[in-house]
Amino acid sequence: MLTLAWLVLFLPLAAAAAILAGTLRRNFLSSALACGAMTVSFLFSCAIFFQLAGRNFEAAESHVVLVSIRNFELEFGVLVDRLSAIMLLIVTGIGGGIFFYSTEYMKDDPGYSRYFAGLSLFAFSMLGIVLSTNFFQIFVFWELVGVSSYLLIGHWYQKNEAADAGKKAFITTRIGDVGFLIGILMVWSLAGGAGKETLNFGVLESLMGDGFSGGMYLTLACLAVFCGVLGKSAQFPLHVWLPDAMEGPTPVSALIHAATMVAAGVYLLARTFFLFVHSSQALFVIACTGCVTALMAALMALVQDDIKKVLAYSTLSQLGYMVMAVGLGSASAGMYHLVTHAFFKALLFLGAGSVIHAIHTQNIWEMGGLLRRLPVTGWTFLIGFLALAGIFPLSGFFSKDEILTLASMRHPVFYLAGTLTAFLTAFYMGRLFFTVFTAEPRREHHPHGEAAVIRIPLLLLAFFSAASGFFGLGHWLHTHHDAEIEWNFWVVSISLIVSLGGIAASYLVYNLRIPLPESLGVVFAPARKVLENKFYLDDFYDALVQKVQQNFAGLCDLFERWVVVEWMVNGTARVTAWSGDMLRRLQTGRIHFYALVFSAGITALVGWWVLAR
Amino acid sequence: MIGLHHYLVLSAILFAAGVYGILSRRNVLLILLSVELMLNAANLSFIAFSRYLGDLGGQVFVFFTMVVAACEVTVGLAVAILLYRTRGSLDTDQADWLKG
Repeated sequence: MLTLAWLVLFLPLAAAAAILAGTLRRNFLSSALACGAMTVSFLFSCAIFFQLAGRNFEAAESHVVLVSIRNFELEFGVLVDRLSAIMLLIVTGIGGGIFFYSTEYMKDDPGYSRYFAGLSLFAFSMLGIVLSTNFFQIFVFWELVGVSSYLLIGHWYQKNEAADAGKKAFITTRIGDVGFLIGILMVWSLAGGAGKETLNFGVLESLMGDGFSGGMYLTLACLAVFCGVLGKSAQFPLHVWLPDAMEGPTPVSALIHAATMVAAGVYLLARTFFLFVHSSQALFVIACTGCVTALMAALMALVQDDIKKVLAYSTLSQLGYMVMAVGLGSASAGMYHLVTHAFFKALLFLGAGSVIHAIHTQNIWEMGGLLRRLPVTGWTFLIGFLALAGIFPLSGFFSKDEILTLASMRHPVFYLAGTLTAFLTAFYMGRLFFTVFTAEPRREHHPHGEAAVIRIPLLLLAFFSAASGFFGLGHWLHTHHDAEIEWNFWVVSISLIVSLGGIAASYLVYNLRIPLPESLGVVFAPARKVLENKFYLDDFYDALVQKVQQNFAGLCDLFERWVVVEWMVNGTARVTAWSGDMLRRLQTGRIHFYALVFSAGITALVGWWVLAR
Repeated sequence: MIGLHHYLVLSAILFAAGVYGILSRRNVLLILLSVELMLNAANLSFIAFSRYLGDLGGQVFVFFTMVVAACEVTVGLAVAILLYRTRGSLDTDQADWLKG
């Protein structure tokens, strides 16, 4: 089983290496290698899952020691337990579907082979995170995910926006990663205090068992680790890279948003939840962050015109839910939503990709009536939409209501924000769906049909989006750290009614186009302006960079120019030159002068010697 | 009675005269002459001590000194001749090419 896990991890890397080494000019071979490796990885993941089920889901790990410093060891290994097994299936399964879909979507792209090498590297990095046995390894793969996301978001690097978006994604997540690295060091010292210097998750969990108390230091360590999650899982205030990352090819967006990258943050929280349960303050901060992100992103999604941007903000909002669930004390609820969300968000993105591929625009106001033209895309998109809105009996209903129930058990503010977000989610997704697929088209389109490699992943994902709520995943992922969630009829029915209300409202406004009173537009104009400017966060960061950072850099520049270069470097040279000049004057070339100095010196020496006696 | 002190005082006077000659004269030949004066002042001290202590070592030293002085004069005169050929004079103030 562990051998299989090693293979699952390294097959995509082998594919990426083979593509880069040999088949860059052979498009078909490149995609065949990447898809083949992913398929085999998926089959192996299934095998791992069933073998693990045969062992009653007992965790197993194997590792090699990379560096050993006295009694501290840096390990590299694979860890297979419930959490990683389910994530393996998600990453290789959904990822594999996206790989196949890409063969059609990227058909005529000049960077076809490079693209598949990037995808494979991305899959490898994510699998590395999933299978990590320790903090060190997870950090290495964490950074690899950052690099490969940079490569893929900037795939069309000739476009300035794409190149900038790649850089933005990389740098923004790096800011969070600084905190993560500090957090890892703090965890290391905590572990040392608890008896053994280690970064291994299993050992750490047993060290920090019941009754462990790390005090303020532990809270700080947790928050520092959470900084990494802020970046990767695009939580407020580091969420700004995610919408821009839409510049990448649509399958890449699907991959980033569903199976990899943003999932990494929530996965990290679930993996290291044993750490967080000891600090209620850290959990509270996490819950607040998630809550703010969920609500803010849902609001911003209301005013987007780009089909992919709407989905991007909805991802942000759903990630907010997941993080909030973890913060409220149940990592399993967060992971549950992560899994169901992976299905329907991949479905929605691939659907959006299919639309973009067919009519070559991303602006939803130029679309319309596409349900008849692209039936498979349309109907599967509807399933994804209803799942995301949390309509019974689709998967989103179960996972989202688990989070809302949890929130209602904790604090009404979280519950209200969550329910409001649910309403907004239903509304903006309805706006998207009705405008694109059912409303009268504002422009005539002649979309070309849907290829089989586009249809099949859509249908498979639609099936899982609809059905994955019935497998009882939330209960299955439950560990003794997680809070118990009691089924609450009122919470569930209220959220269902709210979601249906959102859909109905969007149906009225965007499908039937009932005329709204003019005054409504005037009243909401300022709010709309704020939302369209993304709460001015991007402008704030721009100002921060331009005013603060640039000035600070200018100051550093002055310091270097005047103190380091002028004063220290040139100063040393000047002192040397001056003293040389002075000493030179002693060399008069006159023999009398030398003789005089010589005899004076001798006289002085002899005189001193005589007098000293 | 002429004792050790008389010889030593004479030696010191000769040595001082040599130093004065080196410092005050500009002609290379006169400087060489002054150097010889200083060497011989030293020789006189050696001889005087040799006689006073009844030890022949001092006289052996004097022979060495005379050999070195002969060599020094040989080289010194050669330098003086070359100096005269290149510069046309034996004035040391004009021989200051080694000025830094």
